[in-house]
Amino acid sequence: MIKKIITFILEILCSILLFSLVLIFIISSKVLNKDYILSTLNKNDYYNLLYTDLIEKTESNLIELDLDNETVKSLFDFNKVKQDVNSLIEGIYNNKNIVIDTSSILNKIDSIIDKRFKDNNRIPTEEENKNINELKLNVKNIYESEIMIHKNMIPKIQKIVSLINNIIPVIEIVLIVIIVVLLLVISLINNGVHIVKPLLTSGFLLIFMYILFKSKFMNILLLSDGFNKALIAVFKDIFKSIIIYGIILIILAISLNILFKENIKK
Amino acid sequence: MTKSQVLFMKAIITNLIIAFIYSLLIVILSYFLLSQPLSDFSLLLDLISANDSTKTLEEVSLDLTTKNLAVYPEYGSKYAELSIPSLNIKKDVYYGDSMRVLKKGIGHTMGSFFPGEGGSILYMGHNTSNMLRNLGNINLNDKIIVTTNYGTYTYSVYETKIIEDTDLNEVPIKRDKEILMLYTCYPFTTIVYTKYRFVVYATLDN
Repeated sequence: MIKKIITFILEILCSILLFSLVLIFIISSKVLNKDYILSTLNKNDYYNLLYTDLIEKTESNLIELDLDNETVKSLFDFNKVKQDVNSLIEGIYNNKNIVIDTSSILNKIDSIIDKRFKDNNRIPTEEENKNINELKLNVKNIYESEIMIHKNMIPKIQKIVSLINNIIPVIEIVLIVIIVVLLLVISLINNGVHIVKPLLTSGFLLIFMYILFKSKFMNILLLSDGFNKALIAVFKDIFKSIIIYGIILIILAISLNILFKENIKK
Repeated sequence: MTKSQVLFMKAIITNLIIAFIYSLLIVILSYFLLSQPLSDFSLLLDLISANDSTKTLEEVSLDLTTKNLAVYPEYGSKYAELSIPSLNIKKDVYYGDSMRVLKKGIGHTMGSFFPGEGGSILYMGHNTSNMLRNLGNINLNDKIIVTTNYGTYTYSVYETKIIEDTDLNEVPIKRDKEILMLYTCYPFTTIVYTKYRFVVYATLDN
């Protein structure tokens, strides 16, 4: 009786740890993988959507200049936008300093305004110069916030990513060791290999997680269209991996059951 | 099927059932032990999720008894058309005054009343060539017509003023009389942000 209770507790514990290990592995292999993130952004049209957002927001702020859409578009180079986003991602994952250069954009605005004053045959007043500087600062801030979303959060995110990158492998190794030890103890107590139930249980837990949580993550609406689309794509991939690993664990468990003839009364 | 095959199947099915029960137990236990964090997390997800509302948008309508709108327009939605025949201006009116709204047409400042409610209505629009650049050419007694799906309201211009953007006293929101205030940036050919506004005041015709 005591043997059964101890086995039950250890099997439950082992299942929870195995489930956690698989989950951590799935999430870290996606979210902490810089190449995966860059490819997700590409596949989900993030750069185009960001560029469109950028044009729209800048157009609204430059409305007093009465610029047509083509002129506003000419302020921003799509390839530079893409490059800046990629530099941001690189900077976050490699803990490097991130610099977003807006000088080319501001120079273009200067030329437009200079030409406008020349066409009107006058020079800007002191107040107009002050307003021009404010306008340029607004455009600079728009560009930086579109690329970086929250500029002040970037150093914190870099620290967190760096910390997680260092901790995850340690956590995974510790979990593997504990799981192996638990399985050995269970097997010793029961005089035979006892791996099937923890594998099956963690497989079922992954499937439950997929069923209970997937729909909650598919309607998220955060920040911009591009960010949202990419975020939902990441969640879709994570949940896809969860169900696949769940099924793999169940199949593996059944195979091992057959191999080790676990629970089969002779 | 041989006896050993039957035993195999029995063992596999037994393990499957036990494991399923284990996993149910873990889920139920987590639900009770982590009910508060799970509930908070669920609430957070709901807050940042788009509501898949099947509710159809009701038409904007005026309650003639209370003289208040019975159904208000959604923020950012078009609910009226403004025309100034003397200046050949015809623009859509949107509820809200964000940059996004002002790019599309005339913005209705939130907090001001709606046509027909008997209070002050505050509309704003950019002074660009495709919007209200010509507003400075408006004359006293010129008509401003606001057409909504619940009625058409005609206003007559009685005053124009140049104010500063901080002069909120010059654009008071009151319920005593239906006045339409339409404003845009001034000077009309300004290149960058200006602190001046050109305001047109018009009273509701009977």
